Amino acid sequence: MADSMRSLNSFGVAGLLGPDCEVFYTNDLRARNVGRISDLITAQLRETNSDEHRIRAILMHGVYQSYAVRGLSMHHSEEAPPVSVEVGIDPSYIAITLSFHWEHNRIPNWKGIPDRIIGGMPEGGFETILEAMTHQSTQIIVRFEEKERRIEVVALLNRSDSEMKDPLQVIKVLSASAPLLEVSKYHELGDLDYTKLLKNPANEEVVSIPETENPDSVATLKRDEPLDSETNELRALLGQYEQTISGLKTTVSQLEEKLEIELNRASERRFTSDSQVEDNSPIVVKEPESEGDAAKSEDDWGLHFMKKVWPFKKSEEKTEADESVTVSGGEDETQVDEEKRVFAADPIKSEDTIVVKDSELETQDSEDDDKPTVTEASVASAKVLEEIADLAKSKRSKKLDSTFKEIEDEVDKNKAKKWVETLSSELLQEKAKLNELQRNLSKQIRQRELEFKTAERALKQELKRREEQLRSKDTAIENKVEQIAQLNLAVERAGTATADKESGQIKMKLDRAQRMAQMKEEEAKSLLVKVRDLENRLIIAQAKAQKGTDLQMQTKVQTLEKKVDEYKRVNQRLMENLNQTKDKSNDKELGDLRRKIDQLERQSGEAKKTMDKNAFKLKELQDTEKKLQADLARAVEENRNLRKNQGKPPGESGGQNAA
Amino acid sequence: MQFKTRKLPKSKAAELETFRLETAEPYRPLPAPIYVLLQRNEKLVSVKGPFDFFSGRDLEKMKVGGKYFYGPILSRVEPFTTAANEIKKMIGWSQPTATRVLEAAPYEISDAVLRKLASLWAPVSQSESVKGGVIGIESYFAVAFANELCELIPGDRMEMARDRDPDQYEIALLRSGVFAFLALHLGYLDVKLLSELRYRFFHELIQLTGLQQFVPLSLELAELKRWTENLIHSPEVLMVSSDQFDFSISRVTQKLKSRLFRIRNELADPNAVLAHTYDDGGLGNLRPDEEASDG
Repeated sequence: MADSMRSLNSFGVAGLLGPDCEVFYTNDLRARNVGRISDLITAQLRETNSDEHRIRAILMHGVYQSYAVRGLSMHHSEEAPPVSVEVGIDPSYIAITLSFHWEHNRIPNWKGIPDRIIGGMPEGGFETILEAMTHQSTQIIVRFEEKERRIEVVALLNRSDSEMKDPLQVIKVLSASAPLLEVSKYHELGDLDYTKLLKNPANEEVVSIPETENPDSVATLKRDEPLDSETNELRALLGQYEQTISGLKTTVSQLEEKLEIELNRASERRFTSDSQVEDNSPIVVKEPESEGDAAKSEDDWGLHFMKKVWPFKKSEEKTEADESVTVSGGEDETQVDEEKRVFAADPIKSEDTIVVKDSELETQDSEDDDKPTVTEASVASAKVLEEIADLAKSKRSKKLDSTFKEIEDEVDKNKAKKWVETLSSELLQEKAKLNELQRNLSKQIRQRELEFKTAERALKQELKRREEQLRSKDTAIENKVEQIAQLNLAVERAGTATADKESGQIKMKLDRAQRMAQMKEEEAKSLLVKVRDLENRLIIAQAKAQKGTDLQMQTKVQTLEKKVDEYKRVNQRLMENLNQTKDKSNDKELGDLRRKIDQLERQSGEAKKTMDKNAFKLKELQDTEKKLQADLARAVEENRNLRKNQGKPPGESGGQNAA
Repeated sequence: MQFKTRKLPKSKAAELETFRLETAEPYRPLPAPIYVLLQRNEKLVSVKGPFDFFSGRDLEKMKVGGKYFYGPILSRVEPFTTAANEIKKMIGWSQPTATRVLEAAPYEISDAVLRKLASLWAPVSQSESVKGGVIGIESYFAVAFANELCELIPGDRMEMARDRDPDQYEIALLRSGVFAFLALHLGYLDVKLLSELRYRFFHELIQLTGLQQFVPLSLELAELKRWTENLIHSPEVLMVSSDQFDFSISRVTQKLKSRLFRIRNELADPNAVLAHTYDDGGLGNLRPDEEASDG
């Protein structure tokens, strides 16, 4: 098998695999999510028959290696920066790279790592984990760059047939000279269809949810349908709503029961709050339906009523003990029987009376607090007395007559009247209280009922809405799945026919564009070199043409000129001396003098020549400087144009021109 | 940065959003120029240009001033700043206390972030369809997005940079902002890391002195930095478009190409309209075609 390794001197998996490799990457691998990342990566590579165990182990080791290299404990920390991962796959190999950086104060000891690890004596956590990684892969390459403190650990799987067979290599990378390497495609893990990849392939059968009370909630689900988290949340929420509604229904029924009980209670009429009266059989004002009921009501009305309301009995008992014995022994019971009969004989009439009173009370309730009830009570008591008297007149027995007579004889009429009045007012007050209580209670119950009904309605609506959402989501998912299937089919059909031709054209275009880009890059580079060269030349020229040189030359010329002048003066003086001492001339001395003069003239001529030469050189340098400046300006202009062209690729709108 | 609408008529005030001092954050680059209403002159005059900032002292002084308004470009910038805040929330999901439910996986977050980022790209030419066409974003909006997403650059650095050379400050802010925006596309989802990277880039461009321990750059990010320098070559608003990555085979451009391909083909809204900074609704600059004809 051919070795697909292209370059070791570059970070990333591209250099270790062929140009047809696919690369999956993420820049956010942390200890707390290594499981889910490795799930997705292994799911993606499942069809390649790769060793899942090794891939997962390498990823996990890699994450904790970033902790070890910083000297952190092997416990998740949000402070640790995330690790970048690339997983590349070509037809032959799988390569996994994990890159992170070391801290300033913890530089790994790069020397001798392979020897230490292969010799089984790793130093520190980083090397210990590296040793563990060597067991999981066929080759490990550790690359680092000191400038940016970057480490990359590369694990290669299935590389046993490679030419480079060292199990562990440590390489120092110079990223400036790293080559540009093309791959088939880079996939960020978020771009993968993770819902599809992570589903359990074993679950293909159709699962039916058992029928529930609500026929709308019945749904048939295929497990291979992509159920996203939102749908699951909705279903959970639906379940919660169902529970809440059933709970509310129970509460409502309980409340209804309570309401009925309260209504019944409210309809009960009690004449006193005495514990004796609060017996086991409450007094209910209802028309007796049968003899038994009538008897009961008679008993209630008669016995308790008379027991309670007959105020003179006690005093009579105290004062006339003998008589009371006879009354209580025979007549009292008879009287009670008579009373029973009286009230049982005309029940409708008695009820009617109470109803009238009720209505009166209801209308007067609001005024009760302000108005005194004495008049009402007296009227009512008069009425009751009249009624009793009428009843007594119309249906009285002989015994009753005698009893009444006795009472009339014994009791003071005014006193009796007063007593009845008091009794009536008490009765009315009690009734008013009861009515008030009943009204409050019924109001509260109605309010509660309304609240619950509103809540129930809202919940039902929410439920319905959620169900509709669910249904529409399901439909959308189904549609999408169908669309995908159709698209796949269409792509497959279309792909087979046109793929070769199109890919050929695209490749040609790409090649051409790449060539153009490379040419442009080269051109730019050469221009940059030219600019730098021109700059250097300019600097040199400027240095040469500095004023300092000119001044030196000028002072030299001036010195020479001074010397010439001096020599001229000496010459003149000598000539004068010569003329004066013509007679005393000495041929030898004259000859010497002439030689000296010639020498001085020669020196003067040379100095003049040097001066001219220097002036010419100066002019030349000034010309060169001007030329270089013009060249530089042109180069800068060309460079600017080139950068503009690079920044404005073909097809772009005029957006850049706005700048 | 070219910015022509330095004065506006008073009548415009009704259309502009009020700049509230109590919500202003010192040293946060402003998404839009700020105008003050001069009652006597009946004009709105800009007191701060786009991407300028207020220091604490400025804000104190302004309390005694008149009424302040954001420039009209704010309405165009707002979708980008809103998206930045939403993405910040998405990334914040990874915080352990963010939710009671199972934490989202990084690839789910990355997917969600890309979907949100896709809403910021639009077809460069309205005649072209999104699929197969060229999508782009003006650097101004990418930088406004990054300014909202990332943590603040230290105030003293901002002040030093602006005082030393405003053009250099602008180009540094534009480049570092576009860098952070593109790094997010590459799956760098840690806001803290992104902010540190942006600050490093800004600092290096401004060439400020002082010892600083910066977060190291990977080869990929170093490549991205070089690319951003090429894309944003002047302190003007430039277009960043998908076709700029088409013909390069560096690692970072291949990755960006792949992600922008997905945006173009799956995620971008076909009816999206490219936000721009020219005309009176923007920074008052001429449209590119008008500028060309003027030139």
